[in-house]
Amino acid sequence: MRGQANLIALATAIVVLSGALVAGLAIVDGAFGDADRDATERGTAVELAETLVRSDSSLATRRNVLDATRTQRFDGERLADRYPSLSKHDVEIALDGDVLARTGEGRTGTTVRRIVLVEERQSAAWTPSIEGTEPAVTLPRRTDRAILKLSPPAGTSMTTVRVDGRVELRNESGLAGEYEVPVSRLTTATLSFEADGELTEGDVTVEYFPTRTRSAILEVSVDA
Amino acid sequence: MADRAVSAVIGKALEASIVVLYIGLLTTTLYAGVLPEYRTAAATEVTDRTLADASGEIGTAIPQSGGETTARVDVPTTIRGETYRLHVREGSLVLDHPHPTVGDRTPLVLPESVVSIEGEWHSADPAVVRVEATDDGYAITLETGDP
Amino acid sequence: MRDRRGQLSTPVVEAGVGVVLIFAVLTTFALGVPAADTRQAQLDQYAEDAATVLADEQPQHRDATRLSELARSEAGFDREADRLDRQLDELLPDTLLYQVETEHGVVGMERPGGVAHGSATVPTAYGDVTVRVWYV
Repeated sequence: MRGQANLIALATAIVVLSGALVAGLAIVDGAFGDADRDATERGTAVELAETLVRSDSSLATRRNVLDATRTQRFDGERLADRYPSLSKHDVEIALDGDVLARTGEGRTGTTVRRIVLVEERQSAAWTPSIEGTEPAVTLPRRTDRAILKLSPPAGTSMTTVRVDGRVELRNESGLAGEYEVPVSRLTTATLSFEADGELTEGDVTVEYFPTRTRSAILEVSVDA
Repeated sequence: MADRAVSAVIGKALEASIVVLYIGLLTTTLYAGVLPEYRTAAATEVTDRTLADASGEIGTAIPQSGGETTARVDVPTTIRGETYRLHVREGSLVLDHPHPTVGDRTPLVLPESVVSIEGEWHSADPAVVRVEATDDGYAITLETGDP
Repeated sequence: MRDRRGQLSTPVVEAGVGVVLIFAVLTTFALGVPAADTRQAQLDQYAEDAATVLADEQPQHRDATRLSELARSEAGFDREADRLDRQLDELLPDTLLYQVETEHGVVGMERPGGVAHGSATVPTAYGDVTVRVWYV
């Protein structure tokens, strides 16, 4: 009688243990299921974001600085062309919440954020007041290039144009017409002119390209 | 009286043998059925992680401007007990593994100035990524050896 | 009858222990896969980006960059500190607080201890400048 009671207890114990094992394995199954997809999603998003903010990116003027016009023209199709391997993923690229490009569903998966500046280049025209034979003027704003229209009065030849002391244009027989000169964007540039006669206001007009910069967050989301 | 004593011994022996049988059955079932599945599931996780790390290290090796760089890349020597290959196919980093259910690919998103990427890695050999600046842009090679 | 000593029979106790053990082991599987520390990586990236943008900036005077002016001397620091503060305030999203540390002083908020933060250090000719950010 005693032996049989023990056997029943043993049988019950075995059943309970087996049940616990099965339940536990079911839990483990679930845990394995959703574990590491995030690592590859995140890796891809990080790479894509880095590609966009690098200085060699077609959207960027320099590292972490995007050009406003180019971001507006940014095409999701070009993204898909260059990275066909992304076609099976849902990718979304947004700048300050505005979606620049998207394949598939909206913002899903892992999102990576980068701080960038968005630079808008405008065009400004300026006629500096100059006088004398070797005037020098400083541009009102910083720019990366300038288009100079030189029209010295009849009988006067402009021989040299210097930007920040560096000779950019020189012609002994006279400069006239439209010239584009590169300018260091790090400081407001000084233009100096040399001519063999008196120059007055209007002989030189300058078109320059100041920038307006704002900060923005670039968001790249990838869903595998 | 004697009956009771005998049945006690037989009872305990019976219990013991049932327990041993149960453990044996359990072990066999687990090793034959459940365990290989879990080894493969774990291998899949390691594969994903390896691909993510390797592609990340390739991206980090590319300099911001100019120059040539070489960098060591660490990958696990074996996954699920076997060595494997890593190579690039159609813009993805592919992990080739002898086991039929292990193996994966991850898209490789490289900067616009990268013009080519080639080569392969064997997990048993030290992996090195070499980035060279050519006239058109960066050329990436996956090699083995010392950086 | 004399064997019913008023305690649970051994197999039941053993089964109970076995069940607890199994669940303990399997729970470590279920819970033990740690989520990769994505917040830390994102914070560090924010700090790197902020440092990259700041490193490019021109101070009010001179040719050097603002960060090197800050690191150069007390006078340089005093001159550029306010501007840097405003610049960072504008640059970073509202969800982040920030701090810039140089030898000559600290710009920004006080960093609470024990809070996850990202940092990036910019070496300049006169010393290191460290940018730290953390979530509000």
